[in-house]
Amino acid sequence: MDLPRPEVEGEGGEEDGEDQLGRLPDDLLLHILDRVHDARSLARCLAVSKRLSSLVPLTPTVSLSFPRPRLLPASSESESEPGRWRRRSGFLSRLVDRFVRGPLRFLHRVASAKSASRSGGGGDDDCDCDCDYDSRPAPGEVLKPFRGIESLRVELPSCVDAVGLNGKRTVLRWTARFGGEMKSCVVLGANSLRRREDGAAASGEEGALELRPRAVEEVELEPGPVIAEEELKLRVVWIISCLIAASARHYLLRQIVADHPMLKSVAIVDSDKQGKVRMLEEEIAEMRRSFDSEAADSSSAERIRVPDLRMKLWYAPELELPESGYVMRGATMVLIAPASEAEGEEHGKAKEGGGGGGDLGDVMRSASFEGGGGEDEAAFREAATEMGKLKRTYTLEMNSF
Amino acid sequence: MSSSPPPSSAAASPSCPKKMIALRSSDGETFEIEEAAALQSKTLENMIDEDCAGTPIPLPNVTGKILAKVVEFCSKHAEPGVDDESLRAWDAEFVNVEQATVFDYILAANFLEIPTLLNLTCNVVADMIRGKTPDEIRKFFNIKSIFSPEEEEEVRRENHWAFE
Repeated sequence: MDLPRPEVEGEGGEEDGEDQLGRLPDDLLLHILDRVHDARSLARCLAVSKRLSSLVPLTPTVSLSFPRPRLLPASSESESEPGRWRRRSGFLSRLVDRFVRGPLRFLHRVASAKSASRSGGGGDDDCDCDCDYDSRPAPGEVLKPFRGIESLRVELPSCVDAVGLNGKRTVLRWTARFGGEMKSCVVLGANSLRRREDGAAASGEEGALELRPRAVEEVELEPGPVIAEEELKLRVVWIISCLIAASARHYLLRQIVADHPMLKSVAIVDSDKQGKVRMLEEEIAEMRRSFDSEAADSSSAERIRVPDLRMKLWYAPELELPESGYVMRGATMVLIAPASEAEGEEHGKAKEGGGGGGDLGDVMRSASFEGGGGEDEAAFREAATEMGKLKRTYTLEMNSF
Repeated sequence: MSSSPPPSSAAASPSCPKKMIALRSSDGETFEIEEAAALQSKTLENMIDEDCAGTPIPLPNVTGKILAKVVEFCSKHAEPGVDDESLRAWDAEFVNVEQATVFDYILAANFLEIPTLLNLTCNVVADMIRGKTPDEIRKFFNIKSIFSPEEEEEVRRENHWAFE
């Protein structure tokens, strides 16, 4: 409902009574609409006048974001939990619940392109992170009027921050590239990221699980530190969470690409800058080609199957980032690619175990954490570069899921 | 004004430093603008290459009032040594004018092909659109809606999420 509004002051010029927009030719008006970006505002323009309602669908650049979800009053201990994620005590399960299940439910709902029922909020389907996802509209439906989109950006609401060790927020960024299926995913995480103090390093709040670098005399034989089991488990959780989130977004992307034939570039980012999935023209074309060649696999309504994966992991218990002025503890970088792609140079690099060779190196370099903004932006980029220089890497394999 | 021989039409850099270009508005006013500033306008750039002599360039689509401001804008943006922040502040002041004037600028910037001014002014209008309800937009821009109530209702229904 439109609320009564006080007279517009300042730049308002409604005294002269002339329809200013009417002075502009269509292409100029479209030029202006192209700068509005906000999908909600543009959709409202559809109801303003016939002219606008014919121009809005042609708008090339659109950005869709969801306001921060309302936190429901605490009802965190939900009783019956059907499904795979049974509640267990311990920070790992809380991490998984908040990090994976909440966003996954949201994406499941949005990807199914059904308009969310306008329930009074919360309801029976609340995720453990207590976010109100129910009244959010489905992106697929929301974007329907915009047939002419060429450049789309979707910002997904973030759940309450994932919890890491000692109740501190986990430092995590990931980014993935897709064509018909996942091409690559890079995860960069750490136990902590903080500004560098001159002189003594910041106090160790990470607790007993942090590792010391190896003793000096062993450096030549084994140039890298070993990861403790608990740390490794945590990282595996990160990886799985990121992969699930990525593949859920992939599903959403398929819808969007199918609905918008003019699309040339699309990005789906988290509002807390954690995850980013991007597709450019070539990848979009690849995805369109894959529509034809495969039968729609609707067995998994929530997301697309993740293929067999090969991963390379770099780890540094303490990583100095002099250029950006940060220190990262428990720094981890994981480079993930489908096993079929990674096979080629893995054979060649079997003996070396060196960092970033050949195509994997290119992926790493092109994996952009840019555009997220924020001062830790530079820190992440520097961390990626520094870790790529580490000699010791771990290789993991994961079966498709 | 000095009259120098016509330059070769290839380069976009000022052929004669500090050369002043004369412009004539639709209502007969004449303005002078430095060549470096004039080159911000692709339209003027093309015209200047062709004729380096002193006859004022007629601009039938732009009134004197607006042309004066456009000259001011281009001159400011051609000034060396202005830092980004103060230029932004200057720009913000420049468009802090009546709505009708902003649209005058848009049309002038479009006609004269001045990308910086066009971007600036279009952003201003986009900002005016963003966040308003349809009624507010109509009121603000004096749009006479020619939707029938049923048509409007249908649009609102289809995109109800935007009107919550």
